[in-house]
Amino acid sequence: MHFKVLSIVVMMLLIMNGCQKVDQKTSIHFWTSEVEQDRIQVQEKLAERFEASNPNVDVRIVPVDENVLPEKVAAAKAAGSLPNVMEVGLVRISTYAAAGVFNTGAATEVINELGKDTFYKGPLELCRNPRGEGYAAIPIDGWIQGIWYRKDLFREKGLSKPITWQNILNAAKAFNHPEKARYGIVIGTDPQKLYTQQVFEQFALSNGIRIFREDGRIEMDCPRIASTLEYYTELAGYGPPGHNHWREARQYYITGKAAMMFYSPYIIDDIAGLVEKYEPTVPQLAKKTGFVPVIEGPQGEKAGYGEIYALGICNSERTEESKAWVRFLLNEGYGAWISMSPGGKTPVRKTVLEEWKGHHYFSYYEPGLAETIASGMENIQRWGYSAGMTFPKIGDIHGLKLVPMTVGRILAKKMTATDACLKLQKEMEAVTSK
Amino acid sequence: MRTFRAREARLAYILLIPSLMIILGIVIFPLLYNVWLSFHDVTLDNLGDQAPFAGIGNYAKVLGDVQFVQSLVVTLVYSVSGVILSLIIGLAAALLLNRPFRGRALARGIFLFPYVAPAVSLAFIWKWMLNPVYGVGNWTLVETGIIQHTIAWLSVEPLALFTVILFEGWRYFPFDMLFILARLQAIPHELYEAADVDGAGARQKFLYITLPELKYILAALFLLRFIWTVNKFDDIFLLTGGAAGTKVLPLLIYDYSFRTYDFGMGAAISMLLFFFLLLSMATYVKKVINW
Repeated sequence: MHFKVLSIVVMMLLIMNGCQKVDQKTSIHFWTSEVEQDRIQVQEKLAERFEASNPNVDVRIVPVDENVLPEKVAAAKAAGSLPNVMEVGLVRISTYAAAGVFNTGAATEVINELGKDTFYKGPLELCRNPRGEGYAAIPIDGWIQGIWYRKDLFREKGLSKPITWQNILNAAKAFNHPEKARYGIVIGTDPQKLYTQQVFEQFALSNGIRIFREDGRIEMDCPRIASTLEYYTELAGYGPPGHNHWREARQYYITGKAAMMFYSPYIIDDIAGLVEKYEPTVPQLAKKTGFVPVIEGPQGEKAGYGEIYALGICNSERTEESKAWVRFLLNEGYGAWISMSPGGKTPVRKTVLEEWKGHHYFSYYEPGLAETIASGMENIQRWGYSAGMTFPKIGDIHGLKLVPMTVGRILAKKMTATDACLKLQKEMEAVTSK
Repeated sequence: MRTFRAREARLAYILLIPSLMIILGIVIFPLLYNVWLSFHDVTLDNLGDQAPFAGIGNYAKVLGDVQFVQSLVVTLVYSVSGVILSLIIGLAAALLLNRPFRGRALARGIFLFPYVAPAVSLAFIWKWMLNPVYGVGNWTLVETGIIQHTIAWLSVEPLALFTVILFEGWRYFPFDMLFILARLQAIPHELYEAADVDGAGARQKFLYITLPELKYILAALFLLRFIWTVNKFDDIFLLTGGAAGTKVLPLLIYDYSFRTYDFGMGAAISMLLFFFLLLSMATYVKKVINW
């Protein structure tokens, strides 16, 4: 009898112990903005690989579309159910760090463990902690915008690479034949599209314009803004008529109607003719195409423009597990992560360059394209992130689309460059003083 | 007997509990929370935590904000014109469907379509049709020579507001149509017969019989639809996202709350929107329709 009771107790203890073992598995919630079905599958596989080497961690991949992230974060913050790790775009990094959503200490540790030197300089600069030392989040990938140009045509005319303002303008002028429906360059002229700001901002950055002062106040350098706006307007004159944004840029380029245009490396498969819908009408277009990621302004200042995505580690009790997952994604899993979209995901760590370069997309181009794209990461800059400081308010300026609308007004000749600058200053002050 | 009634009453209260809980949870609590939010400085930082009291600071900031005034004007223009447009289309459709003809039931069903279809799919179809590069609507207008060049209906300043008003009028006319139709069918036939005897024409019959008979239903519809339209968020959000001069107040509230994470400001605007609605409703009922 006693034996029976004892054996039952022992068995129950064993079962409970077994249950506890299952419970001991800590789960990590990862909010990813890579929501497409095929990308989810890649990430599920990555999670499995990670769990194989970390048997007591259970990674849950939660797709959260970038556009609804702000609401989700607010709701989760209020309910105390934030994820452990989340992928965010640049404008949110400093906002969330400043609001205490991100654990900046953990992010800094991960970057140091992986080795600062293994990262390109630009992405790290953009991910600095807006409040104090270290980093707000860990950069994971991004894209870098630049000029895609027709090497063959440039060679024919003996023009030099479109790097400096003057060279770009000369080339745009030389290739512009509107009577034959051939245009020099496609830049953003659509007042409703962020693309307009993206292209304009790169020129402005290369002209040394930083809209934030070190104390965080807005300071528009009006003479420089005006000269950039004038240059931009002149350049737009050598482009196709009407409102243009990235869609037109791609269309004019792959049909051989434009010699230059601004785009991110998302376009490499289109130019290579791998996308049926956008097959180029120019034979061997990829071999004839070159890329310039960094523009040199009139004072010799170099600027690249792009977007960075980063992994934020949220404040939680599972910091160690979260850190391990982030380290895994940037190390063992990094090749698989980047290959989710070889064109759209430019690596931020130099360690993966060889693997990335080997992707078949690059085989359609002359060698060296991958290196050129990656090199742009060294010089990537953005307004609101300069001199080692980041200003979270830049997110508001983006959100309210102040810059594209002003550029649009200038291009429509509804305002002079100087008035536009003063208006922009006022609008931005109003936003940042809140 | 008494115990039986008491038990009955208790049962009634018990049965009421679930719906009371729901109302408390999704109506009363958010309402009170919103009032609380509007008097505090709530950001992402202290959300769900203690937030500093702001007094009427949020209200003062909102009233001093140029964007708020602009949005208020846009909201008014959008709501009044959208509602009137849908009333006009609804009235016309109701008159059309009032008289019996072959396939009337089918026609009624088809007319209901814009109201029944989900907003998301309708908005995307409109966006696609109106696209300046590949939109079929633009293509048709250019091919038939009505316009010279394609038009960016949803991204040029005064035009975008016009387009969303058009959408509003089109999407909600079936609702108006149903109510007007119901009232039309209840108008006594004798009135029209008497008018026929007096030799009244179709126009006179419409002006002196149909319209006066419809007066109250039209007024009530206007009021109801005005309230709904002022609070409308999804249609404009899906069509333009608030760009090109279509930022109505609900979108401004969204911008403040979720783009800049200033929940206090967002809440203050929604309170002001609420009072604005109360005021305009009271004026309307007292002054315009004399109830």
